[in-house]
Amino acid sequence: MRIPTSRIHQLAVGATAGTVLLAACGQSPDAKPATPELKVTTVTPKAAGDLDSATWAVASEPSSMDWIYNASFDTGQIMANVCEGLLRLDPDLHVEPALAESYVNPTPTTWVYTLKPGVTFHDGTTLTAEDVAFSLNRNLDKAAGSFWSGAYVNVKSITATGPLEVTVELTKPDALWNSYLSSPAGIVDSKKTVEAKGKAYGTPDGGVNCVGPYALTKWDKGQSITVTRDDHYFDPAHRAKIAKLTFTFVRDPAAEVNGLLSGTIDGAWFLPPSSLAKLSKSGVGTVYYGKSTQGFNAIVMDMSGPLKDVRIRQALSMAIDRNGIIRAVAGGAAQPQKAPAVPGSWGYAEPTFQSAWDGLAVTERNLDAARKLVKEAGAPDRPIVIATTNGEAEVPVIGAEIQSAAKQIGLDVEIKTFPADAYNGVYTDAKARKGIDLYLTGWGTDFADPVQMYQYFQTGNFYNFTGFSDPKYDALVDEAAQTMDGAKRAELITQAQQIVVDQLLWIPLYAPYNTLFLNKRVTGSPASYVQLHYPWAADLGAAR
Amino acid sequence: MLSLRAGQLVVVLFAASVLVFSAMYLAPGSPESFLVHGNSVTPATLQAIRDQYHLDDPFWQQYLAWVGGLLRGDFGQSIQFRQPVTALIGSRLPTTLLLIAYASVLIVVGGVLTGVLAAVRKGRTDTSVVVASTVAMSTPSFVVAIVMTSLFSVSLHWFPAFGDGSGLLDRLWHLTMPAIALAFSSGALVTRTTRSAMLVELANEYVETARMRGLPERRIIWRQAFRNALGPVVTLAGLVVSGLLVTTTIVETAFGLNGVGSLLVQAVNVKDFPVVQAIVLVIVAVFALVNLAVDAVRPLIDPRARSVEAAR
Repeated sequence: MRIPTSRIHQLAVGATAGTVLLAACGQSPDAKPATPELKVTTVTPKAAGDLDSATWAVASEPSSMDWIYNASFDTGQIMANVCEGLLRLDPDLHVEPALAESYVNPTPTTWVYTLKPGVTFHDGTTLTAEDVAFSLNRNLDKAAGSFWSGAYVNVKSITATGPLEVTVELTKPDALWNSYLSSPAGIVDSKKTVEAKGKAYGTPDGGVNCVGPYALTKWDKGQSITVTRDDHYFDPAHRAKIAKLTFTFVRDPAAEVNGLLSGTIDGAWFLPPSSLAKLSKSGVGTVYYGKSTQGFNAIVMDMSGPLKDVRIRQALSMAIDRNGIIRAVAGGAAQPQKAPAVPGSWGYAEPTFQSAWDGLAVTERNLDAARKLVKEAGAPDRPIVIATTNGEAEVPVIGAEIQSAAKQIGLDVEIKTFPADAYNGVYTDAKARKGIDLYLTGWGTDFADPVQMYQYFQTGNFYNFTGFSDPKYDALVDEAAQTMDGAKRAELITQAQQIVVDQLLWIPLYAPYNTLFLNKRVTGSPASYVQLHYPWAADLGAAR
Repeated sequence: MLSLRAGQLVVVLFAASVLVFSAMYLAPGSPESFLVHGNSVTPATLQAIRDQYHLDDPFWQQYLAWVGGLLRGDFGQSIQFRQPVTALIGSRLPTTLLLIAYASVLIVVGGVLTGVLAAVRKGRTDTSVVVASTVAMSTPSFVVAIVMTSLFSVSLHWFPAFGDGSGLLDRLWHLTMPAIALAFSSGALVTRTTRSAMLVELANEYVETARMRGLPERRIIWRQAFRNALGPVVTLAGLVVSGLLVTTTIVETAFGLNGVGSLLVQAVNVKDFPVVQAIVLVIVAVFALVNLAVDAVRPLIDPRARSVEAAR
């Protein structure tokens, strides 16, 4: 899933701010860490009690609350509190049971889930294995067009094998399958309601019926969504502490920050980076930084042009001042990124990933080595084209930073600016990719497993834009995806990672922390990137 | 006369719709890439989405289907929101209309009063009005928005930073800063036009004659000079007010208002064709209708315009 980069608030103002910051970062020494004092936390202090109401900001109105049509972070934040699946992620990014009581994996291709008894939907009806099988199977319905169909590519069948038992048969072992069920891909809704509402399901008029600590009670079109505590929720550990929580849609980041500063809004995820310092110092509340599975990369779109020679790609990567970019666009709330899968995605065998990460030199700054590589390879005869957009605040700044870094090692970079709609078009439209060598965007995994990220570089993958193909690489990733043992999987996937980083199919830039602001009257939610996978708002309550 | 104008309106609407439709169609990228947000999806899924919205049909077929729906009063279904376009626009229209009405009152009343004041008082008052209006005219609405929010909502807490509120009074309170931001530069333009038109009229001989005949000054200013100066002011006000529909996109975004303008921005960014089309059509129609109204009013306030019409 791609991460939302901060929305630009006003064209002219955004541009000036960017230039000023860039000028500042150009002079700073690059060896120092971006912000040494920044503290990364998993959870915020526990809530002291209940609250009658609170207001939360989301950047956009949900397109649909039907889970199969939701790939948006804003919708996901709300959905995680209203509709749960069999599994969820805990604040440490580990998979834990939600609607499931337990699960077993009797054969490499069979998963059996036992449901908790007596779980009720928001309308009071009881959850059955039928509902679960129906909900998961909806992702396989071609005509429905689920946005999460990718999670189900290895699924042969999903059947209710008992009143409280669901069996999933896979076509081949899939180490990611269970993790996917903790993401929005695994949400369960009521079969009866989905069928009764038809096309209206998930719209402001149709609503949703599922299981979660909060029920969707009001959808004021274009304005806000209100959720209220579901008193029949099955899990006392995640009973909602706030009686009425309103998600208000605030598109403009400046308006959002003003709302937070004036106390009209109690909290928000994904804060505009330029506001972090202001919010931290405001005294109105606290900014928290959490672990995240997301990163920001310069994606190579064309390997036949000036970036054809791997030495040029390596030289460019070694010229980039990643700490400078972090200071300029992330407000310091990020760490330099050395591979497409970021440290936050190491959900297992962390030491293996760490030592592999430490050995990645080509994504560290080294101007002398970079100049040498350019000299060896010879500078390309036409400039490297970097696509940027003014629709996302950080993108033009990063583009300019890469341009100046390239200049230092004798590479010529041309910046091409696209409107937001054309910029988004590159994912599905090969025509839109034409003439672009590097494309800047945030991207990460849906759960803490780097395997998901490295599948993108396999032969024929939908997001493998350059058409990279290496049989050895494909075999490594395939084997990793079929290896249930974490230590072994990490061994395999770090080997694959080495290939991708050596090739520099993506030039990794920075891994932003998950940012969260809480007004001083509320506390309790996790700070890690689990806002799509865990009913975080249920833990939120009164600070005193 | 009126039927001629109505015919012109239809032609303008048709041309605008073809223009917007083809521009959206020709630009690279398509809505489904935004919808799936870089999720791992199968190509079959993308095809299913394209089929759901007939995105693979040829241009003219998509256009005709859209026009056909329009003739039946159906603006189609939003790709992004999976809801009828009419419902989407309908729920946002009250905010935008109220904002425009509020700003129009500020522009017309504020602009005319300061303009007349400057022309009549002359001297220091005139100089300050000229300087202030020059500054105001060259200040973009989003700058006004930023300054006002940081001053009046974040520091002083007088007005809410964002949102449209509920109930008329609360709404007006929420819309005060946006309306001022919207009215700022256009109001100044009306001030300047009123001022110059009034200066021309006040220098006329009939004003001298009226003064010599001992008519009260207030009567001379408002009943005689102002009435004669009204022509250019009404024309300008008509243009400015109909143009507000476009400027609201910026102001609504800056103040987090959920109006038609901010809906347009969202729709353009994700290539939500049906929504963009419908809003552009509404904007063009309003623009044409307001100008029609101005043309209809002019003969009433200025007999010279009436005689021109008659001579045609």
